[in-house]
Amino acid sequence: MSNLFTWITEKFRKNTIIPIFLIVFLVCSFFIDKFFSLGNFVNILGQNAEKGILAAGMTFVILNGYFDLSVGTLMGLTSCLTVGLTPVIGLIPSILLALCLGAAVGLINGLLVTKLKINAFIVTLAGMTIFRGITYMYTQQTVRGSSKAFYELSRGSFLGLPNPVWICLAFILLGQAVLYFTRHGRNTYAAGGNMSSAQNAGINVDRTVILNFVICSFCAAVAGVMYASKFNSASPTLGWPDAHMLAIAAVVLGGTKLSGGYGNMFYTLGGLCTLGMINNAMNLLKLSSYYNTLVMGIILIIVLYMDIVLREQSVPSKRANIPGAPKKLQKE
Amino acid sequence: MSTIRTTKIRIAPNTTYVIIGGNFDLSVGSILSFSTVLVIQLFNIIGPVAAMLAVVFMGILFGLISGLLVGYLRLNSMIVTLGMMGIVQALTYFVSGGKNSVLKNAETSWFLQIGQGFVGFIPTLVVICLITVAIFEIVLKRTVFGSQLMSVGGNQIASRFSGVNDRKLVTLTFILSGMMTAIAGIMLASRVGSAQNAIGEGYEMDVIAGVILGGASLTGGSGSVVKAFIGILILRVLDNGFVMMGLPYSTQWLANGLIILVVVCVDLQSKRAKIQGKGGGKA
Repeated sequence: MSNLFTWITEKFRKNTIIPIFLIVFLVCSFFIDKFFSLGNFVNILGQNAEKGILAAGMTFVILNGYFDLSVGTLMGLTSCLTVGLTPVIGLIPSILLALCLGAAVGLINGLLVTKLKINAFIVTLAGMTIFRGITYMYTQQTVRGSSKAFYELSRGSFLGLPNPVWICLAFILLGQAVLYFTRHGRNTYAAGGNMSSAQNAGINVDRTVILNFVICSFCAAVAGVMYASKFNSASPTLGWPDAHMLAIAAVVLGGTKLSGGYGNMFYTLGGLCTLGMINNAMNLLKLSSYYNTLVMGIILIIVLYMDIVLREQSVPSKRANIPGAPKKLQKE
Repeated sequence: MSTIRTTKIRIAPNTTYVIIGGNFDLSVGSILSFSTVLVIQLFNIIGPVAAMLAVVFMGILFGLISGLLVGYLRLNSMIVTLGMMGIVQALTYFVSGGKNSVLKNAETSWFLQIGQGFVGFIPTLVVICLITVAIFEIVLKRTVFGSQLMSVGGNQIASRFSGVNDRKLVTLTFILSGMMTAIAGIMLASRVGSAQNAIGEGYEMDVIAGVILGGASLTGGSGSVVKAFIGILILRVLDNGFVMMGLPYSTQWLANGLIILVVVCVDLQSKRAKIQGKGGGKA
């Protein structure tokens, strides 16, 4: 019996998202009625399906030690393009165009970060503004969709769960498979853990990073297409101002380290569901939506702090013993 | 002249300090919105002087929190200030109740004179702005504090071994940032006489762009307040140009983003060339 207990606590300590998820789940279930119902759970999943795809793509980039701030406005751009170009060139071509745009953006981001060595923050921040500009140049107001079939795609459900949820789950499982079973996945972990060592070991770090940026932006494009399908319209304000913050928060909450090299898709899934539950709880409590950003910001900071604290506990601090340094400087 | 009156210039000096220290402060935009809203809300309740003091205090408080988290707990400054941005923006909506805030009894005097008055024929705001830039630049280049800040940005650990209290300095830059942004918010509120909730949205990036355009290094350690001032001035003039040509706001965003990319690119290339030149070709 004690073996089981130690096994559980070990699992809890290594995968911090599990106790976080359970605590949030239990607190919400006990204190908020209407939370613990199948309909509500399906609701939560349905609302977070598109954000889940966004977070899944972001996981790849964060595993490399970078982050991508442009996904939010990229999502808005692809959403508007999908809906806007459908009457012009048809539904399937406009979806394909949006997806290709996503991949192309990822390629550019990756190239700027690896070849020109520009700080990823600046590149993606600039990208965020550029896409916002392009989106508003394309349309200043909501674009109305015109394809019934497209709309039905996200309204339909399979085995009780809406289609978008299945698509999100597919992305997460596929992403996890890539991380664990493919060479690219292993390279991603290596490059994230220690970039120069990975480079010296013969891994093409540049190509790995570029591919991860492509995956991230591609996922943002997919999320944009799915939003277009969900609302059968597209607003240029989609994804602004804090879609990227949400995705990063989900990934980091799940336990993936911002410095890279540690984490996986299931962590992201857990983080996403936890944030979804918190969001849902605030809705059920009829708190105004302004509290959303407040809670998100606080969670981000708390998670960041825990990231540092937990890292210092598991790995002996590098700053602890500097041989030859005076005692005053040895204490960190 | 009206270009110099823009708020972004007033946030430039403190952002320069933060960037020289090697960090980023993304929360300036929302602290600006918050200050504008709060000063007007409080003005209607407790009068101008108390309102201004309260707002400056809140700005210092926000800066203190960010500064402690980044300086002492060594958290990533981008993420911390990203979180602060969300928190402060939410607080702004909370304080304003979702509506725009308007000054009551606007005739009462001297508060509006700050924003709309003149010293001779130069607007008061321009005078304040130029004085601030001058003070910050002199402190940066001629005092111990300034050179310590530059060393912290250049190599934090080395500066600590040299006896500089790097954590306190970093915290101070954030506190200054919060305080100056709050003051900038007060001046904006006094100029316009009302406050909108999301006025500061996106400001942080434009200010960072201007500072980088002015030659500050992204990794910290070098920069100049005067050049940052000129950098932001150039960007504002460009924006003004777009507006006068009748192009929509979206063009401004597009151009700003592209300019940042190009400037950073050129900046990095020139720095790499300098390093390679000195090191005899070793990358």
